Amino acid sequence: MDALSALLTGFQVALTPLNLAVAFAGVALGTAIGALPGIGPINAVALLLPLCFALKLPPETALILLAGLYYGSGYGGRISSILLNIPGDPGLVMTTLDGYPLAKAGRGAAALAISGIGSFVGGTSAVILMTFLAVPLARLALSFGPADYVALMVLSFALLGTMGEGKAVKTWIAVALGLLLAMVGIDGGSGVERFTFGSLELLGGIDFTSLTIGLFAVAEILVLAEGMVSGVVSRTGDGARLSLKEIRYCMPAMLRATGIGFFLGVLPGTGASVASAMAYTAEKRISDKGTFGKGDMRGLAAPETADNAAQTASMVPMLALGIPGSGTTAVMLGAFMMYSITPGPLLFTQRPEVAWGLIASMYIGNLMLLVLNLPLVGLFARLLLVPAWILYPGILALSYAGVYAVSNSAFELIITTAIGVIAYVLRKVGIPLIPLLLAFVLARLLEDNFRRALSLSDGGYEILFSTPTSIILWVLALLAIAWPFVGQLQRGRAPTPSEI
Amino acid sequence: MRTSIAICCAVMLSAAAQAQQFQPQNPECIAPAAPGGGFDLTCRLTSRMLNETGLVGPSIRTTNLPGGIGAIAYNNIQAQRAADPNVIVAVSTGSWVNLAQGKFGRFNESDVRWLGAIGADYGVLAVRKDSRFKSLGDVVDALKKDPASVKVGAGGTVGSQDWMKPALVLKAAGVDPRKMRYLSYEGGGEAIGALIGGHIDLFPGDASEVRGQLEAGEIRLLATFSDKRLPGAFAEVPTAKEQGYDVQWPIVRGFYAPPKAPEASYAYWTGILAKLNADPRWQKARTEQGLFEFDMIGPDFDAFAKKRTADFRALAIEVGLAK
Amino acid sequence: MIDRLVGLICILLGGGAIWHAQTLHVPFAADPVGPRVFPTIIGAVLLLAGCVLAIRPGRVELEFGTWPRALAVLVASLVYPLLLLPIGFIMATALLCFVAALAFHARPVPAAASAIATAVVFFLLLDKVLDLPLPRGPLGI
Repeated sequence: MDALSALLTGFQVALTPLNLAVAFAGVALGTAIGALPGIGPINAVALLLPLCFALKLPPETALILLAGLYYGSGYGGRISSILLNIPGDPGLVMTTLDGYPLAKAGRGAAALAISGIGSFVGGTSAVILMTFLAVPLARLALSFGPADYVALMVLSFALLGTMGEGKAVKTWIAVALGLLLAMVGIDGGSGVERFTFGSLELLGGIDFTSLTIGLFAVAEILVLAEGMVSGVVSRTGDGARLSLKEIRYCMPAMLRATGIGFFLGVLPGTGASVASAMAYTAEKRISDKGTFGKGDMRGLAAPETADNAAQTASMVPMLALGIPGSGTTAVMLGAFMMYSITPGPLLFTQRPEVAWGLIASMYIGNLMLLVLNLPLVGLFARLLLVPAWILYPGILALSYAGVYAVSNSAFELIITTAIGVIAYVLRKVGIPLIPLLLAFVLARLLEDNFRRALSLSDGGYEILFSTPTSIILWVLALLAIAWPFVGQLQRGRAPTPSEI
Repeated sequence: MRTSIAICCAVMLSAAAQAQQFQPQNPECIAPAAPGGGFDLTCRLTSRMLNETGLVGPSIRTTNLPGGIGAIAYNNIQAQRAADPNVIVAVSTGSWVNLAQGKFGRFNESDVRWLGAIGADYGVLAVRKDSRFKSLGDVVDALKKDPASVKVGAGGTVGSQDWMKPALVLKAAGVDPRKMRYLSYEGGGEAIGALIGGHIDLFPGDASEVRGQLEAGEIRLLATFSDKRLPGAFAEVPTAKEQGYDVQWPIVRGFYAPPKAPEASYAYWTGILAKLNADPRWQKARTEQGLFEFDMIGPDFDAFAKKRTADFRALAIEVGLAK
Repeated sequence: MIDRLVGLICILLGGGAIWHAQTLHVPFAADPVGPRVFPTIIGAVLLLAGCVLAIRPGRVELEFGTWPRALAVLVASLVYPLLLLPIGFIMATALLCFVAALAFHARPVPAAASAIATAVVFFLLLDKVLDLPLPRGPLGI
């Protein structure tokens, strides 16, 4: 009850005309900025932060603007992921898997709609959980130790096995290549440079955004330019609308994805990209009857829901304990500090109007995102009416401009193009790109936590199975690996090697 | 101290005289980090304050040149803008640490013109509220007995500033820093989480990033690595020096100019920064950012930058991180 | 045949990774595992997978469309970073878009028009609206 009355106070703050207008502006602006490849929520928040300060906005208003921006930019990137198969940000890669086939089938608007609904479900459920359980959840997240992370990563890799199409050995190659790319840069545990070949630019490792843009945007445009595959042809009318039945059909997937997304979002270190990947792969393992990857609504709803649930949940450790769990929340933490607000356990008692105002505005921001974007899905889908010779050169230029605007580095552009060429070749020889990217995302988490765990145990491997959480995750990982065999046994035949 | 004030005044006077001779065109502040990083905020806030107070007329733009904690920007300045009078580049202690280890390519600390500092954060040593360690002495005793029994964790890599802080403590206690059990995290935030979650024993962080946790009583500070006790929430925390280990770790935030910047522009920028440090509006903004006073301009700052880099190099060579 | 070649490249890459990991100069590591273990394992996985593919290749048909068009886009992409500083963002981007538009079957005049428009709009958007400074050319644009 306490939380409820506090939330009401929060709504009194968030529902003032100024704050409502600011939330709306944040969501709208965020959607627009998020649609630019390479410029994600971190940049959007960082760029507007000094502006808030300069305009002398009160702290709660500034934070509401930033939160709206954060939500909006997550949504904006979906447009090109679904319609063009070009994800601008790492968290949106899984969106393309079933979103693009839907768009190809002329259901782009419906796909955008289910993505919006999924985001709303994930975001809102996460805010509800946050409202009532922020502090205990944040504490629970902190008790998650290196050994638990290792088990979680093993589970993620086990689920990656679902992604393989065609020869299993090619998925292995993709995974190994992704892991290898992640090794580039200075190693944290020893300060040693690995695979940098003396290049200063590579000291910090391969940039996540450049990798995503190279793998997907550049390679896609090279393939399209050849004219071997055609892009989406815009069709409206039949099948463009989303039916209520379809929403119901997706509901179980969305709820599962909310759980996964929220859990991974609260954990420091694992963000929206890990969450959407795990939600998709888990959903595929649970409900796929051969329709995933060919335009199954659930395959789109799951990562979208998880993505937003994780984005919201990553605010939990920051609000409750003052610990930023992701890059964007670290920037928001900076915003708090500029206003001389110390986030942490004392925030809710010292500055309730800020804490609860922000939480209330998340409810409003989520709703606004839905209300703003559902009517516009038809309009967004019309993006495909733009002739290919304007659209694709534009996307290519925008991708490069985004990379350059943030890095100011010609080298980064060359890296992006080089990755694009490699991706082009990999596509030709049938090595899948998505396992490569996911392995890249997971590699550092796995290596860092494995080494931290063995540091804690002075080299003893028993630590990897030392907590109840880690044991549960190891069992789940074994199940994920064994699942295809179980399914095959039920149908009374042994699995063929390519299915392993 | 007296001489440094005198030099400071002299710098300001000569700057006032030369300010007429030089006015920047399209001034630019280079932040050697991505938008949102520490350097980025330093640049954007300082620029805004310089414009707001009228110290610099034309609007200052911030350009991001991320990479290698300043390495990319350092090389870029040498190659492309060695004589540009309109540009200043943000620098911090972290840059000197890497410079000392040869991670800035073929350039060293004499290859730019150090302008001045506008504030500093200080290193601290944090433990969980219920930790077995009550003082710096307890930690040192435990480290002497068995270095691997104390798990240190922080946001940087081995060889970074967060590693150097405890390494200096170990060195002061006569223990080989290479024996330290150090867990490297992706950022200070993750490491604080690991500290509160009970996974690591010691967190050698910065004062600004632990303040919230300190005020909430989640953590205790065993020492600050400052010359004197820090004000405010930190007033109760003894310095390392008080406890008999003379380790100081200011995380200085400042700027440098390109190597061939003309004398007039050097005088202009040092004068501007000196005036900024004296301005109460900046002093307020500085405190809000979690920074402490650290006035050091012109030749003093130049000497300081070179001295610190040399010290870091000595330590890095000693443990084998640099040649 | 293609698969055998891919397998061979993987063997070389995997072997290279293992070699690189073994030759790392590690002054000391602050953890019992050290920086060599992961690259070595990954290299071994790549090497093994490469062997499997080389020994038991599948049938891969390499299909190319009008590849000169893709090549044109690629060349424009590679030249683009080199031109940004000398001729400025707008001109370099317009050039990139122009070549890419031609590759996507545009006629030269509309291609030029849309390329210039695209470049100008993006410049205004990123440099003016989002305050991310972009290089200006010799003419100040």
